[in-house]
Amino acid sequence: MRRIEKYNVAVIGDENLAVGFRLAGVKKVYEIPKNADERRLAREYLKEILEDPKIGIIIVHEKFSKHVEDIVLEYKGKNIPIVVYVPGIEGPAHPDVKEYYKQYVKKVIGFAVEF
Amino acid sequence: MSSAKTLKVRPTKIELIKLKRRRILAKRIHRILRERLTILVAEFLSIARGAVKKREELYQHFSKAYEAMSIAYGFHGRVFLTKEMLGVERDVEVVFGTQNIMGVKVPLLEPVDIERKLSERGYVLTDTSLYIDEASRRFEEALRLSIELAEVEKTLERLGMEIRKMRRRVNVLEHILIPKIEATIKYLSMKFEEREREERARLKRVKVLLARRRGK
Repeated sequence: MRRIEKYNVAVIGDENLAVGFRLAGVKKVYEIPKNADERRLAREYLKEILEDPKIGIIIVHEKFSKHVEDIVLEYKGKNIPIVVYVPGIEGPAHPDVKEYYKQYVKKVIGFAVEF
Repeated sequence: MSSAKTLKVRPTKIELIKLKRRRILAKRIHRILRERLTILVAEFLSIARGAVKKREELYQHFSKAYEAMSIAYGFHGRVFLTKEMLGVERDVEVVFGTQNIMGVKVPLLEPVDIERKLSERGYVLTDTSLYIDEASRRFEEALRLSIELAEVEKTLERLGMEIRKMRRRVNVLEHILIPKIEATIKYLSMKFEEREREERARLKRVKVLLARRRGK
């Protein structure tokens, strides 16, 4: 059975990411200001977003990933919502993409594979 | 799982027959699961390769998008840009479907109207510059790529979980259940052989005794 539903997108980002995605037209943008308590705010926002059943994709700034990882892990087995980490203006946190995935692949299938 | 090397069964012939049937079944299931695991791993690897490409593309796009945004910043100033953006917002909709890869349900995403026409963006065109247009366009693209990456990464995650589960099952069959059944079968058949031998020895003894008695 194919189930088709519509969901919205939410963004948690720093000032630049927030401005960018607002320009792209995303409504639910949660901005974490520069000198704020990143960890507390990121977790608060994420929990708020997770309570909204209409949101299916959460775009999170890479630098906040370490603050929210444990919450994201709880949703691992589910198809919704999907959390995706995107780079900030200062550049990607994992410039070596192959290495980034290689780690995961190794963890799953037990041996490293060249891409 | 108990650590005993054999299964606990009654030492009867009917149990032996049952065990032999179980062995055939277990081996067949093991073969099917292993084949499924192989296919899942192949699928997983090809998707992982796709994810690498997608993420690289995403990184490139984001740096371009930030560049375009910096120019817009410089041209208009932050306050103006923030004000202008209030009119631009809308709900970005993504259609969620599911796809089946070897029995694993994975998401299939289809963004709706990410890239907008100039007139659809909602800000006043006469007040703004093409730098804002450019930044918007770039970020719309970045958004589309983010959604695509979300799909790929979730698929990867789901397949990864399934592979782990499969591997555990295959391992249990291969290293615990099948050896246990085989050990039990061996034990039982040895026991029956032994019993038969004893029986034969006893019969021989009886025969000798009978012959001796008759000879008297």
